[in-house]
Formats: sequence, structure tokens, C-alpha cells
Amino acid sequence: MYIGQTLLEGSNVFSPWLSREADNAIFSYEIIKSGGTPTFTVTVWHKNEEDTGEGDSLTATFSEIVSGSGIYAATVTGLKELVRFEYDVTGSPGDYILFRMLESTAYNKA
Amino acid sequence: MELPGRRFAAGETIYSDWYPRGGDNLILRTENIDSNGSPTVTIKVYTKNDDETGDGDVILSDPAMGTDWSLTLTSTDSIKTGLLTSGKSTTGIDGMKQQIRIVVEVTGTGTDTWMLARVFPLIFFDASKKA
Repeated sequence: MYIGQTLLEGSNVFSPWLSREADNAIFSYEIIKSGGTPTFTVTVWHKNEEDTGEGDSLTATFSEIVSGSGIYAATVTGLKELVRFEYDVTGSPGDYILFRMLESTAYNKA
Repeated sequence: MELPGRRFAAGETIYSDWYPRGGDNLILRTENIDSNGSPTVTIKVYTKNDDETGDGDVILSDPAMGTDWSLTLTSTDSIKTGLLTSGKSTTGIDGMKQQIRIVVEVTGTGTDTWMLARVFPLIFFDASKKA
């Protein structure tokens, strides 16, 4: 067992559906290592429990929380009951990303 | 641990309880919900080991310079995020011991200067590779 997951160039995969913990959340991931010059895109999807299918994507702009840390975060508001992530890696053959999701900050409007 | 929303008045210094470190590294998030005047809220992290008594030591962002690590929130901010790393960090931050607590310091002028703020649950994590 080791920390993180490796995705090769061309990967386009979903996480499992997770229950929303609050109306809003700040999601974070860490780029542990990469090979080549891949582009890594994380998209947040959501839907209600009564819905079937892929749900709807949300606007989530991930930016590095501290320069050079490799940790990126995005704030997403108005979540439905279920949330999941789409991970997409593009680049050249052999490019890869080793990453991990970090615990999120779930919060309701104060 | 977290600090639910509460009003911090200028001049106050608030200490949280001690909590066990949940990992070598920490993401600390805080939100300015409302404010009056122009307060500045500064959050610092103190640390000590289980076998120590007393107030502990403030965590430094630059041990060589003796600069305290801090996350500053002003009246124009909404949510702010700070990253505190330990061990062989390239940022030189001195690490967390077995227990930590946060200290909230509020500065500002005027008799009715305050901020309604909250600290979200702390996110601990360990390094995933050698520094």
C-alpha cells in the first residue's frame, strides 16, 4: 500500500459517488509526482439521490494554495446530495500523474 | 478541531483547547463571516509534546529568523487557507509536536471593532514522499 494513485495519459475516470456533507465544500488534491508534461483536470459532478446517470458538472477552478506546495483547492457551492470527481489526464504517451485527494472542508453558509 | 463562528473583538487573544496532532502537515481554513471596523485576525499554532506542561511553543514559519507561522484574516477577506508543513520541508517551517492548539489574536482600532469568524475543522495529512 502506498499513498496516492497513478493515472496515465489518456485516463478519464470517475470516483465513486460520495454523500454531500454540507451545501458547500472546498476540495483539495495534491500532485505528488508527474512524468512528462501532463495536464491534469479534476471536475466535480453532483446529483440528487433520486437521479440516475452521470449528474451535472460544476464549475470548480483548482488553484495552488501555496506556491510550490503541489496542493490545489477549489471552492464549490450549491452541492446536490451526491458528489463525485472526474479525473482527466492528457499529454503525450508515457506521461503520468501521481496524486491524492485530501480531506475536504465542508461548510454551510454562516 | 474547529472554532464555530464567534465574535472576536479587537484586543482579544483566544486560545483553543489542546488537540492531538493528526498528521505532520496541516491545512487551516478560516472564514470572515462579518466584521465591523477594520479588524485583523491573526491565527497562530502552538505545539507541545504529551509529556510537557505549560503553554507550549509557537510554530515558526522560518526557524532561522524566528518568524511565527500565521494566517491573517482582514475585513476584506472571505475564506483563507494556510498550509503548515513539518519535517524536511523546503519552506523551513518548524513542525508540530504531539499536541497543537490555535491562538486567535485580534487587532484593530476603535471601541467597536470586531470580526465574526470561524475556523473550519483542521485537515491533517502526512507527507507522501521524501522531501
